Amino acid sequence: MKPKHLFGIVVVVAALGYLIFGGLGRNLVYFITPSEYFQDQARYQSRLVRLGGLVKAGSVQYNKETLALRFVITDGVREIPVSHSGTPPALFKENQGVVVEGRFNGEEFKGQELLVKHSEDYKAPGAGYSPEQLKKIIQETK
Amino acid sequence: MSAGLLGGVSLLASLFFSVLGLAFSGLAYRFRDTRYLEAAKRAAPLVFAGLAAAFLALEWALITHDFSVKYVALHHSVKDPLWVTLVTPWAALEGSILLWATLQSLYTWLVSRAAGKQLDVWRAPIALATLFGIQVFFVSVMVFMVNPFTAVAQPPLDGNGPNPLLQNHWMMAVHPVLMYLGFVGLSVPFAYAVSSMVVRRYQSWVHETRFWTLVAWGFLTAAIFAGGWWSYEVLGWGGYWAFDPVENASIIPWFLATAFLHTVQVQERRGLFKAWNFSFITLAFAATVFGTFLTRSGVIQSVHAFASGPIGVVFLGFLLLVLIVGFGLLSKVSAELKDAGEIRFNSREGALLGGALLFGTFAFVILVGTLWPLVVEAASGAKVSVGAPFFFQVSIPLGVALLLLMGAGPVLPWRNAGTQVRRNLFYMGLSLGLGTGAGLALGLSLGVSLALGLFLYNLAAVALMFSQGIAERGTSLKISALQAFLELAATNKRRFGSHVVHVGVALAGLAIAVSQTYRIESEKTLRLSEVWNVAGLEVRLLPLTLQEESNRQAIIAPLKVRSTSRLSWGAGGSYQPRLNFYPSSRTPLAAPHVRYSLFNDYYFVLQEFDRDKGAWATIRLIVTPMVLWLWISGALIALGTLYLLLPNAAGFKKGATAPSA
Amino acid sequence: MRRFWPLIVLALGGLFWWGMQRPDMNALPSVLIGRPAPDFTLPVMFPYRASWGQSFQLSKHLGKKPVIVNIWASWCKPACYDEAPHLQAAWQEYQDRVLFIVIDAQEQDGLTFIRLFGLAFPQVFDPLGTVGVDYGMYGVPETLLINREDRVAGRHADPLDPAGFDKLIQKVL
Repeated sequence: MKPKHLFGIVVVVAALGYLIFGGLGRNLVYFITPSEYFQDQARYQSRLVRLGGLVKAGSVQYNKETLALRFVITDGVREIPVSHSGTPPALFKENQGVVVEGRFNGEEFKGQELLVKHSEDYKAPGAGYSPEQLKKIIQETK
Repeated sequence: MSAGLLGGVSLLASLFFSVLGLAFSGLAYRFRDTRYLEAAKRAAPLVFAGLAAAFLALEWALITHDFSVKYVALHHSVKDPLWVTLVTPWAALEGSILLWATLQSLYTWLVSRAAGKQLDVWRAPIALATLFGIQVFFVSVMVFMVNPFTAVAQPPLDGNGPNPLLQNHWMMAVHPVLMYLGFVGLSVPFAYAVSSMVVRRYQSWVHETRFWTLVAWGFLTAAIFAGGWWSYEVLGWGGYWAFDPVENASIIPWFLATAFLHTVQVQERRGLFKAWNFSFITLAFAATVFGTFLTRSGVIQSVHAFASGPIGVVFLGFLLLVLIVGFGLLSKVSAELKDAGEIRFNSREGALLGGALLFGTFAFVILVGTLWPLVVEAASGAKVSVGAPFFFQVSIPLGVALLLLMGAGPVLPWRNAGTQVRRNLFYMGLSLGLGTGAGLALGLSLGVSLALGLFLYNLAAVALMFSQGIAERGTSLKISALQAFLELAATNKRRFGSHVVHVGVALAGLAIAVSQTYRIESEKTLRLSEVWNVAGLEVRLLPLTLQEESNRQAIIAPLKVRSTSRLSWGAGGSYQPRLNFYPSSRTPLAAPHVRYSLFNDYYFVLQEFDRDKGAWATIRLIVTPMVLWLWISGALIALGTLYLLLPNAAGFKKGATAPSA
Repeated sequence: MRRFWPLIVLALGGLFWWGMQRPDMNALPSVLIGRPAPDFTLPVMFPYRASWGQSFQLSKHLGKKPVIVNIWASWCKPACYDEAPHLQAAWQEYQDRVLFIVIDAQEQDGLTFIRLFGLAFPQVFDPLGTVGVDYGMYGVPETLLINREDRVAGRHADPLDPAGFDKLIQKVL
């Protein structure tokens, strides 16, 4: 192989590597629970995160005129208030497993997208869950 | 005889004939005896007949509401409309595998007809053995693991019907069949490649498989566009592509097959790139198996939420087997595949190789992005997903590079570039610059301006090639320009067809750039007869209505829309976005109402409504420009491919002079 | 590449294999294991009323035989439908030694179940989902095992196969 070609290949591979792995690092969206967030707050600031847990009973406030939705997401240990703009999906209910994609904004989590598992073999989570079980719910959602 | 019994027996018969075909192919190769080959050829239509009978038996069971068949009990309801009943065979795993195997046997049969003729007697046994081997795999999976004809001891009187998402749009009748035709079709070039490597004849297979690859590629392309259309009109989020793992699984084989279709031309013409061609086609076929594995094994989470069955493991085994056979053979013969010629970068073959490498890179990048969550979880235990922004970020530079090469490649002559070519490239570069400049001057974003420039650049390339071809032919034969054009199109089908496909791709690039950039979204809760002024429209909510249909109930929010600005011209009229309630689903499914126009699409979704008094409804409006043009580009690509596949016109000789070559 | 491709194929295969073997939720211990089984009283589905009465109270049946409680729903496809025949088979084998009971979310679910898989063990329905809450149910199908000492002895939150039923029931026999 000629050195000229070798040089070209190295440049192309480097560019590709940067494109893929640089881009991947910046665009990884972590699935976390409220407890995990409080373990390492700095890590999840100002980046896209999927926050999963249950919708705390009695915490849902939805104004259909302004389409402002507020609720508290909990994993049984810690809680995080969430604000979101838009109609909640039909499966969105209290005590329901939910995953919100969005960013932390101070103490509050600003949701951009609400995900509720919409497959037919959806498993409704009940009370009496453990954090590990919740993790599983999050994984199942989307 | 019941449908279930007929189906079960037909499956067993087709398994028997597949094994027989495989055995006879093996004997034909081992003893170099054409009598065995003849026997293997006879097995192919019998396998097809068996599977076609099984498929019809399933349709029969569905149409006659035979709930003693488990598949029917689980995925059918007497309330289903006829078209839903007819497409139910591919609504779930067992039926999909049956459809897959049936189409596979059809391809095997068609190939077997060429054995001993176009496909010579040395390679035919291996090619048929490969196809019969694949056939044995699929039929065995059905017979031993996911039999569509498993019986129910006590049949119910009615079932739940298929997944509501599949009942929501007629596109679901078309999209999966096209997808399977494309996926399955790639097994034929793979079989030819395997046979060529086994008997060590590396040249002739490429001529023969270009046709088969193009057939599969055409179906795959149509399927991807149909899938985008379905996603746009059914899922209610106003997009057509989300880089979901299932979508990625369909685009990876497409990229690899596209790469093969480009490098194969160099081997046809100059005998170069043999190893590339074997690699691309092995990878393309492996990618189809990988796609099935990915969607059916639960390895990666996806919104498409296919049920994860027990077949993940066997598909993984099959995937590894395909890779081992393909690359094992390739590494065995690789010493004999050294290319003899020199390749210049500024020649047609250089551009074709560059394009193929870009397609290969694209496939690789998407594969890495799709699998990355699995890698991260294996390495660190963290649950992550790769966001769509990653895929867009990498797609933009790769897409721009591909569009640039797509224009220049066909303009460049084989071997070396000359002066006329430089002038052509200059004009094309000028169109690129002018288009981009004009876009920026009009206040369009940089990306969209560049897409506009690239579109014009590609149009200029095709126009220049045509005008020069027409001028040459017109002056030398003294005929009119129109006649020259028609003759060129008829005699040089290959060039003409590929130009049409390329124009389609360039148009798709522009439509994607524009629709991704200029999208307006708005949502509001409207009271009855309240007026909502949005995006140059005046939207008024009329009283909600309930509609009873045989398989579902629907709440319709009729909207009266008046256009109030010049830009929204054509958007006025009435819209009926609806929420469909299916008995088997706990959540209603939104069916958006879309109106296409040459510039903007108006997309209304009913999000929520007042369940007590019907006094209000939350409506979402999405305005996206140029989506119609994306569907048009898909149609252009399909038509161009069809033209490429038409039998050759009389008097056309292979390698006839191309307009600028 | 010529020498490395087997490694790449092997690595991919290993990754996918691992991906399919990831621990599932059944590895998660239920908080109730070893604790007294919460009681419930639920209406009995009408085909069973002749032999079981209008309602079924768990505590009345405890202490004599171990109890298998299976939670089922008609919308849970295909998992619940895959499991039901195995449940039926397990009942046929163990009916003398173990009491089987199926809880459905709605009366309609139970009727679907009977239509598809036949009548066997008593079915009750739980429209409010209180049993699910009391038992920390993960989802459907879910199978709970209560031993002769009235304590929760096992739980499986996913469809069971015949071997799974055997293994679960052997814990208390």
